[in-house]
Amino acid sequence: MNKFKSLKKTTRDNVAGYSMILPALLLLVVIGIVPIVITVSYSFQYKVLTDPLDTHFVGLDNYVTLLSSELFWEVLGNTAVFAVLSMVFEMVIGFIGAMLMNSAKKFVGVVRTAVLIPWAIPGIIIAYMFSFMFNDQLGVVNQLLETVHLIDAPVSWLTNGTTAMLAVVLADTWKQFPYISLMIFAGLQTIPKDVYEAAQIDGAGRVATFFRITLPNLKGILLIVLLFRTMGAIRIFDIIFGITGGGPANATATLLFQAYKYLFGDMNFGLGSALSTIITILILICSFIYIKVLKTDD
Amino acid sequence: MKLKRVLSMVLCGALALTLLTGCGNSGGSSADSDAENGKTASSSREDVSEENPSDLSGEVTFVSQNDQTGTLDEMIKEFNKLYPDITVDHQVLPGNSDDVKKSLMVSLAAGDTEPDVFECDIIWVSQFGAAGWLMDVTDNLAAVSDEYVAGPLSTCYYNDKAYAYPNYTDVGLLYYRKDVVDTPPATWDELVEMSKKHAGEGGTKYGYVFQMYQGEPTSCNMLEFIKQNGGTDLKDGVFAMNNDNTKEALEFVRNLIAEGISPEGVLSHKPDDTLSIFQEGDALFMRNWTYAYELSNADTSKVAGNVGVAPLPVGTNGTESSGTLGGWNFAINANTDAPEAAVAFAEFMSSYEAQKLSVLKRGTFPTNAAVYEDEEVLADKPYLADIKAAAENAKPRPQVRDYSAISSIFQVYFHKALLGEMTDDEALEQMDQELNAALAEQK
Repeated sequence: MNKFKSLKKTTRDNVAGYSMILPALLLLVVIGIVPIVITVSYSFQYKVLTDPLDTHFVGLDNYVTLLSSELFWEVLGNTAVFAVLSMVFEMVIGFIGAMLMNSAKKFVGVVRTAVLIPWAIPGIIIAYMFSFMFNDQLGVVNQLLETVHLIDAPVSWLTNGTTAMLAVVLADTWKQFPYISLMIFAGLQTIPKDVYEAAQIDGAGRVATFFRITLPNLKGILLIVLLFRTMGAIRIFDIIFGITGGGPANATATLLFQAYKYLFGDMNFGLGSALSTIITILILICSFIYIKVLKTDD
Repeated sequence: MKLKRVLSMVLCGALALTLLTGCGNSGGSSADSDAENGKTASSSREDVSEENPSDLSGEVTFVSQNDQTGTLDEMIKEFNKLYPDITVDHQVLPGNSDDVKKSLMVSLAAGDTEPDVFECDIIWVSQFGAAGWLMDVTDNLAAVSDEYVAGPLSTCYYNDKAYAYPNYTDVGLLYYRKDVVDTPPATWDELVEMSKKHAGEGGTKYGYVFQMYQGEPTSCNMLEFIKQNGGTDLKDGVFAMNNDNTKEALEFVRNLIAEGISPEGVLSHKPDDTLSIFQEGDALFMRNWTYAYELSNADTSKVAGNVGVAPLPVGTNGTESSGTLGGWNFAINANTDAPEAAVAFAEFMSSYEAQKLSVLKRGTFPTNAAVYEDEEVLADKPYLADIKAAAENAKPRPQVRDYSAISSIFQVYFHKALLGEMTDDEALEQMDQELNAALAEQK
């Protein structure tokens, strides 16, 4: 009898608990799970909005079309190049930013806020800013370089595959490094000061301190940052859309940009959804590898 | 403590509300839109005059591209004199045609009732019409169709049904500096010759600027070059573009860049970039759309008053000047909740009075034939007479169901050939193959 009563109480508690998280769960299902399920189901259909009466199931046709097209491998390569370059740039600059924030003695609030400004600007606006800056005739980049006599004639940044890629990577770096700085900065704050003091007493230099104490302590944070930025880089869109439009000659067209072209240009929701699904799977694989490789011992 | 509880209640309420509205939006089904498609609203234009305003009422949301001149708002004011009971909510979408399309598609694909009327690029009509997003206005337009110029009028139709009202037409034109050259070049050879001779005069740095940004600019400009040189795109149901006319056109563009007549950057420029270069006085000749005329003669332009305009020059193998036909229409959302007001509005915005205002204030090219003959218009814009020929010779882009799938293929292969990543033969052969495959899918 007594036992039964207590059981009843737990159930009551549980009901209260579940009803508390129900709204959040519902929200997650509606804005997270449902769209994913719909996208995956579209990817197995011939679904072109301009041909609304002919929507039908086609099995893996969309995937076969994609994987056997040269275009897919081209944009996959571009995405990989973009992801690696942007992450290297962003991690290095982000780390430097975090160290600066951490060692700021004066104007701490101002420094921390100022660093965050690029991150607060919408990506498409940053894209248009950089597209204007890198314009061969009207841009400030060429004007600056000409003023300091590094170049004689305007360089046409966006008509060369390599320099165009560099331009989009720079724009993305400028937008994303504050986020990385902030995360690493938060990690730095959690490392106890006395560990550094002990190292100092033991006679460890700055370099040794950095590699033996700072980095290992940041492993968890770095994993999260890398994970988020890999996802971000694989699904890069706004920067590409605003600066190069995938050009020149498709040199900066990325996976998601191509998916956008299928979806919003050709209105081919089948093919576009298949590509989106592939992007999701790629992100899952990358995340899995990161977690395996960088798994902390504890 | 109490405050916290109140706050959490409010937040919960807000959350629930978002959920509800989120679900509500997806309610519009395709069955609704099909029913709306057959709906035809009575045209009441004939019975309405300034002294006798209509009592038709309703609320119309009108979405347009950015209009810096404020002309659209003046046109709406005129409309309200005739229809005082219809409220027009004018919203502006920023960015170029692709940006506008993206924003519009989100509402249209979701079956929203707004926007009721919107400015629709001529290349979207077939796509949006085929998707069932546009109201069928065949009967309404048939009553007034003889008022319009034939070329632009044809862009309102898809599969013999009208889905839009003509707004303004557009065509690629050659702009030149009147203070440097007296007569514009009529052929490619003259263009090169004059550029070499006169570039540097009057502060110019370059001979000829145009737009080859990988996107619609590449398709429009390159098709123009090809057709100027006697080439074709879609002909008799097939794309057969791997020929000398196309190759010479590609070679011509590469030479313009190699010889410094055009900056290398043209391959990354959009119309606005080109216009800025011309406004700065850096270029002798410019290929641009009609909108550039007013803006290159505006106070902010360094070449104001020195700008002449002519049809684009003809290629070595070509016989006639050929500019790409562009322009915008007014389309009505198939799901509009105020069909009669929307039709009245679109019809007015497309009418003689509205177009005259648009020509005078924003320098657009009318689609209403009578506006070309209007004395007041001709006194203000004498150039309209000069370039009517260019407008009449304008060539449409391939009129297929999914033009943008075709255009994506053009862009990639033209760019690869121009940048030398593929030989002309390889690029054009592969392009033809993919174009025909894409076309077959659309049948």
